[in-house]
Amino acid sequence: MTQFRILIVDDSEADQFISSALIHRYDPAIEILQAYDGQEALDILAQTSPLPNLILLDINMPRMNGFEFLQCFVLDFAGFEGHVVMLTSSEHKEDKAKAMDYPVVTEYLVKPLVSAMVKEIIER
Amino acid sequence: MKISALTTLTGIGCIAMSLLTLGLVFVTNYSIQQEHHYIQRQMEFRHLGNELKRASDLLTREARRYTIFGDKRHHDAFWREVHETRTRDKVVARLKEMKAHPEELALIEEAKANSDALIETENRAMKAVAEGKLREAQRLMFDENYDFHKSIIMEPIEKFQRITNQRAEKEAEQAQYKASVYLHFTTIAIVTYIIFVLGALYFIFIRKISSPLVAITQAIDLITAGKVDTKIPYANVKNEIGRLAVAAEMFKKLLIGNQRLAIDLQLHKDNLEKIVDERTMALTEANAELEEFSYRTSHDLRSPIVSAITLLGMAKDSIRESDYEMVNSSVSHAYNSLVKLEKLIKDILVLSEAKHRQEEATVIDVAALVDSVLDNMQHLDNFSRLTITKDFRHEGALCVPQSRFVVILENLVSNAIKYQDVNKESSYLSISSYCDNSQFILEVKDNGLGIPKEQQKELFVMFKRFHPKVAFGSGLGLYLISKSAAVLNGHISFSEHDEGSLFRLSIPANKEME
Repeated sequence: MTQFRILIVDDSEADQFISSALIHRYDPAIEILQAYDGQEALDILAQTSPLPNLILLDINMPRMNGFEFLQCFVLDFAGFEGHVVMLTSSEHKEDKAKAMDYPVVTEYLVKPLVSAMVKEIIER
Repeated sequence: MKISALTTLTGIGCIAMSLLTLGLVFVTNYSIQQEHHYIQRQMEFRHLGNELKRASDLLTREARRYTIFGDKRHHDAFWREVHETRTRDKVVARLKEMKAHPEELALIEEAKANSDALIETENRAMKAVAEGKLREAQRLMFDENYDFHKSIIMEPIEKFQRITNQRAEKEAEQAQYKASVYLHFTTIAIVTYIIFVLGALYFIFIRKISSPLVAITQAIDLITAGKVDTKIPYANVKNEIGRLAVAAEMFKKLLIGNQRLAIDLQLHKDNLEKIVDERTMALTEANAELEEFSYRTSHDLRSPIVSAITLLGMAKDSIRESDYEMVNSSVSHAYNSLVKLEKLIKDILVLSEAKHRQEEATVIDVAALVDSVLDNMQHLDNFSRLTITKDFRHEGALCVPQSRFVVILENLVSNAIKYQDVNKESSYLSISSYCDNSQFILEVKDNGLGIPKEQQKELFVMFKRFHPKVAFGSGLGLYLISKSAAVLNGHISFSEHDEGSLFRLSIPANKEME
């Protein structure tokens, strides 16, 4: 059975820690990859095979933010079969609408991440 | 001469010429009528003479026929002429009415008197007929005596006709001559009148009025079409046309003035529009900046708090589960989040103060300030790795708001310390100053991590972090530097240097430094 992989893209170490802890609490076997901005995430994805099943994506990050990442991601990884779930502090409707325009984005979650959310998004 | 005076004179001349012409026409007409009158008079005189002859011939003829035929009809016709028709008397009366010349009238009366004498003979002849003495009667009527007396009747009549003809011809000729002369004068007057009118028409109305009006109108048309340098003709003429030309000249000047005003207004309008556009753009940029600031601060303020709350919640759960490693990690991350939050709030407060605080410029000692800032930074990680050099070559004292200058120094120095490249053997920080072209220049150079090329265009934008993994920054430091430099009427620039950074602050030098 292929190991479930999740890529967490967030510039906050605290939020990376929270997401990792909650995911591992749900299932310690899940492999977690971490990137601190969009460019680092693209670099990791380019070197990773198979691609992660789930990407948790923040919006406000230095160097390359979440939207800039999505622009490059949909072009470079058109065959991605997993889900991208936005995990952000932004509650702006414009941000949500902009993210949901991408077919690969299946959900828009506002921090903080909680266990119930983890269960739902992984089981989907 | 004024056109109105000229026109008046022309009018008077036309009226005079008209009156003269009318007078001559009247006189000519009268002369022609006189000529006709004299001709008719002449004809009537002739007719009257002929009537007298005819009457005399009729008397002779009827008397002779009576003496020949004894027909009473002839006798009655004779006496009807003498007593009823009385042609001779009528002729004399008519001549008197026509105011015939006395000499001419005397001839007719002589003829009549001679005719009366002959009537006596004719009467004796008719009496002889009545008595039956036809031979006697015929002798009286046909002898030489009768013919002689008959001829002395005709002589005055013929003389009368001759004289009256001559006189009437002479009078008619004179009248005809007069009429002819008057006709000539009338013709000359009419021709002169026509020439005068045509001349007046040409000289006054065409040369003095119409042509100048047309020329002035054409000039005005050209001016209104845009050729404002068109000269207005006849402006020097001292009459109504000249005054019109002067008015047109004033119109031209007004038009030129209005055009210049319109151009100035348009320039002013363009300038105002440009200023409005610039201010609108500045306001739009400021508004966008404010919106971005609001968005980011709300996000960046909330995010660490939410994270800290979640982490402390996790710590609580971990304490219950006796997972103290997790407790330690959670609390540690929570602490770091709150430290970053505190730094962010502090930077926001400094930024707010930088934007709104009014501060007087004071004379500052740049070297002393730099030393002070460096002393305050000694606690930062990797401060001791840095080789710090200072080179202050500016002359005179700098006079600026001190706190603004300090904010710039502190951020430049702290960035150089935080973002040094620890993989390099040695790291340096160089702080120098000099004056150049009435500008005070402060340069801060290092061989640290620099700024990635693709992000250099966003160097002084708020909330931009370029090396988040190396050290925490709120992303407001360089933005704060650019705003503070603007408050000092200066400018901050970045260039790559020795695989590191060179920041150059340029502010106007005060008079003491020039």
